[in-house]
Amino acid sequence: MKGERMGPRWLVCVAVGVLSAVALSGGAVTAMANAGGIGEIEALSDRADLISGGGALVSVDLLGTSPRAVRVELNGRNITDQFAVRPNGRYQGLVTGLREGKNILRVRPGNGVGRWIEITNHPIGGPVLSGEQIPSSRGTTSTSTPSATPAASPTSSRPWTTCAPAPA
Amino acid sequence: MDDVRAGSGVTRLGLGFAVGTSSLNTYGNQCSDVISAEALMMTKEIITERWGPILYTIGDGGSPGRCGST
Repeated sequence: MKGERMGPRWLVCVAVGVLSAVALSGGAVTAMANAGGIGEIEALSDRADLISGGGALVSVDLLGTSPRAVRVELNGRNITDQFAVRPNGRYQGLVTGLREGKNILRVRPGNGVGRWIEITNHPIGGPVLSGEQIPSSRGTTSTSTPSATPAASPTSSRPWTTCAPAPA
Repeated sequence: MDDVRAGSGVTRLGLGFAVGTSSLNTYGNQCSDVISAEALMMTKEIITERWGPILYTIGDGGSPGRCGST
């Protein structure tokens, strides 16, 4: 109302504003943390969750950390010798030996915590994003012969697959 | 640099282009855009792992070539 002092309501608004600012800045600091001298780890051959065939080309932004001080681990195993500064100037390596499913690739400066990414590997025959594959038919249990009635057909539940009759 | 649209395929190979394909990225096989996209993605991954990151991917063919590029 006109003339009424704001009093406690105003104080509450300011307090909420201050707390929000503090919380936001705290979050921003965490997001910008460079994880002890290691920048972004990037899978180059494909998105890290779409890898297939057990290998991935990976690049690491070292943020000025010396490559000699860096340690690269795949699922806890030291694979630093697969990485080096390449002619394109990037610290890069072909990571092999990925297991099917989730893998953790960690890059540490010395014994620091460093930074890690999760790489999801799929079989080289797929599927990666196309969903469950239709298994190929291997013939049927039908023993129909050419002399059987023309209506006799393979017992496959997927009529569009071609089936060779099971050997008699 | 010469216009890469002109000249022979040999010229373009020398400039750093490569040719790659997989039977399933061809729309005429299976004719599933999801499988074609997946096959193309996996083929590009193999090329990148062997020869390095790819800057441009150009589809070849008529309408399916445009679809594949997309």
